[in-house]
This record gives sequence, structure tokens and C-alpha cells, in this order.
Amino acid sequence: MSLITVLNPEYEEDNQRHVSMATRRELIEPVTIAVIDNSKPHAKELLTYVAEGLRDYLPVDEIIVHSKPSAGKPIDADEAEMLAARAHLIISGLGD
Amino acid sequence: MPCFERNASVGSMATSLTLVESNVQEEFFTRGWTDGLPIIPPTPERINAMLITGGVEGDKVVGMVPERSRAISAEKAAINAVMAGCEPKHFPVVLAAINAMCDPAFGCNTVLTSTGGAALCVAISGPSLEDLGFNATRNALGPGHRANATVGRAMRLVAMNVLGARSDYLDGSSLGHPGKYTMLVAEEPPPEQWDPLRVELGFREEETTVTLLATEGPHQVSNQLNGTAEGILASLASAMTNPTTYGVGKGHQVLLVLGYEHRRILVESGWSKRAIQEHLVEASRVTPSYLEDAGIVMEHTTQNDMTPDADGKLATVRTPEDIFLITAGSPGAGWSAYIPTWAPTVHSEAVTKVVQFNTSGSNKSNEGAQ
Repeated sequence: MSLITVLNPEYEEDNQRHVSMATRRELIEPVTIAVIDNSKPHAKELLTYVAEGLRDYLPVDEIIVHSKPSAGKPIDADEAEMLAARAHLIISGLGD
Repeated sequence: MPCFERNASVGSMATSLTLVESNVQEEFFTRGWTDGLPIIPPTPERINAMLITGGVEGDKVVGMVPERSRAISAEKAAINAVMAGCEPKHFPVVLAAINAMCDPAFGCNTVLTSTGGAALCVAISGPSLEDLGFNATRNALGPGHRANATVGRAMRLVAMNVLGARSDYLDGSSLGHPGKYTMLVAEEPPPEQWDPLRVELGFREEETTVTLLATEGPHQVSNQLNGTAEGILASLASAMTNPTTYGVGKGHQVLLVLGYEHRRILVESGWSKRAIQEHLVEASRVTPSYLEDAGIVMEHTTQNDMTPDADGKLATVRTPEDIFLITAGSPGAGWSAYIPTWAPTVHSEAVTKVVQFNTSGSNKSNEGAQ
């Protein structure tokens, strides 16, 4: 019975930087909701419908829509900063 | 199940397993580490040979995909290249292709995740491909040549094992296609009137380059009886405008593999590569009604705004540079191949990198794999 040593081909997480979730903050009323449209067909309509539905639970002042140029690319740091400055609550989604 | 060890004696950052040799294949299958085919066991000796020939230290990061919080070390690339069956002399090609895959323009995260199921198609152009064992002639897109088969396979194994592109994890392909096992096109030196792909893209004649495209499988383009350049170009344009190809009318890129007869006729008729590209940009423009007749619905989203241009048509490829012309294949009856990218350029663009061969044979850093 001969033994052989082989190396693990998978990613190993030793060097991965773990990040924790941002601190939850209390909502400031009235609420501005931002929707991140991933640019797939009907994404904007679906997420805006969800945001409109929140009017039953929150004093929503404004719903803003931010459309990405491609579903495959994340928003960049400037966009994230802009959305964080403008909105109290952000809805995004992943899908086809 | 055998346990991982961190074994400094093998000089590795990766964990290792000690297995009964006859159990290796089943162990790798069970752990989901293969593409469904058997692998070469990645032993420390084989991996070290890869790294030495590649001229790169094992802990060097040779690519990153920030959206996945993943970095690819040279060692992990080498492990997967060994598993794919690569010879050490091909490792610099794998490193250059990984470098291309991790270029932000390629959109690796999307390419590997999309339901469209794209292949990592490597087009290699260089002055000594035959010496390296790449086949660019008979059966250029088919089986039978280790270099062609294993470099492409190494890319897929890296994607699966290091970047998590597996069916049970981050690969959302609805169907996928056989090119996802391996896909590499080697360029046959073109007729002397034409520049090879690497020169056309601005690289030097003596350099070897890899161009990585996220593609569908190859579509054979048959034209065996029409001996005119116009007839061949009409056939290519027709192939390029299949309305059910996702990028038609949306602005994607294509790799056109011009077979022996077709390129001979085009050259003898005085067509330059640039003239062919410009012609096909125009000839592949389509009207909305052409697509709608095939049941396609016009999209008006930020990623795909299918509002026609002033001529009432939509671009299938927007610029001549979006058509990559490569010559390959042996004399036959009259075949070429059309390989479209799986999605418009807003999602992914082809990326070309120079292969950095380690001429010293020593274990130094590989600048092309930054």
C-alpha cells in the first residue's frame, strides 16, 4: 500500500479579511428608501414595488432608484457613499 | 475521510492530505475537486516543478477577484495546473491567462456566475506555439493535443476550486456547455499579408499572448462551394446574426476562427483583416423586427438599451476591435468557426496579456502575473 501526499487545490481562508456588518442605526423619519436596480429586465419594477409596500409600515418620504450599468458589477465606493448619504434604507437584490 | 495537515516539510502554504495512492481519484471526486474527469495527483514535487518553470514563488498572489474576496496564489494555480495535466512549460501560459481572468475588464465574477454558462476561452498567439506543443492545424478546436487540452482545463479547475465556480456554489449556469471543461484556440501563423492576432492587438511579433474571452461554444461556419470572398463574408455575417445568440443586437464581441480555404480566398481577393472586421461590423447590424420575428423581446434597461440607431438598426458588434480574427485549422472543404462572447461588453470584455516565460529557469517573480 503506497501512500502519496497531495496538496489541497481549494481556496483556503487563512488570509481572508473578515468584515463585520455595519452597526444598525435607528431610522430617521421620514424615511428615504433607495432601490438598487441591477439592470436586469423588471428588476426596477420589482424592487420599487417592494419599496412602495414599505409605506404601510414606515413613514416613507421618497423612493429613489439607482440603476447599475451591469448586473455583474458591484456599485463602486463613490456610488455607495452617495447612496449612504441620500438614503436611510437601501434595497438591493440578486437575480435574473 | 482523511484529514488535512499543515505540513511545513513540503514547503507549502496549502494544507496537504496523505492518501493511499489508489484512492486519490475517488477522494478528489468525493471532495468535488475535479471537473468530473480524473486528475493528475498534485504532489509537492510536481507543484514545485510548475513553480520553478513559471519563475514564481508559491505565495505570490497572481490574481484577485474582489467581489468574491478571493486571491489566487501561484501555488494554488500550480496545484490546479498539475491536476489538469499541464506540463511545467505551460504554466507561464496558465499564469498569463489567470492574469487576464482577474483583470477588472473581464468581469470574472459575472462570467463565472452567470446563468448563461460561459467558457473561459483562451486564444493564444505566438511565434513558437508548435514548439510548445500547441496544435493550430488539423482539429484545431478538437481533442488530441495535451497543451490545448490542459491549459484550458487548468483555467476551469482554478475557477472551480479557488474561485468557487461550482454547480453547488457560485456557478449558476443553466446549461453550461462542453467548452467549460476546456477551451483553447491556438493561432496558425496567418498568410504573410496578414498580421497575427498579437501584432494586431499592439504586441510585438516575438511575444506570446493569451486573449481570454468568455464565450459560448464554437459554431461551425460551413461554406464549401462558394469561392468568392463576398460569399464567405456573407456566411460569416449570417452566423454572427443568429437572433437567439444573446449578444446579437446588444453589442458583444466575437472570436472568428478562419479556416484554411476561407482565409486563402479572402487573402487572395485582397481583403485585409481590418477590412473584414469593418465589413462584418456593418453586415451584422440587425433591425428590431429581425429579432422580434424570432421571438426576441427588445430590452430597454440600463445594461441593454435596444433603441435602434439612426439607420433603424442595432449593433451586434460595435467596433472592428470587437471582432478577434484568428487563423487555424487544416485544409479541408471550407470551414470556419464563430465563437461569440456570452454577453454584451458591458458585462465582460476580452483581455490580452503577454506570457512571461522564465528564461533563467530560476525561481524568480513572474512580472506578467502581478
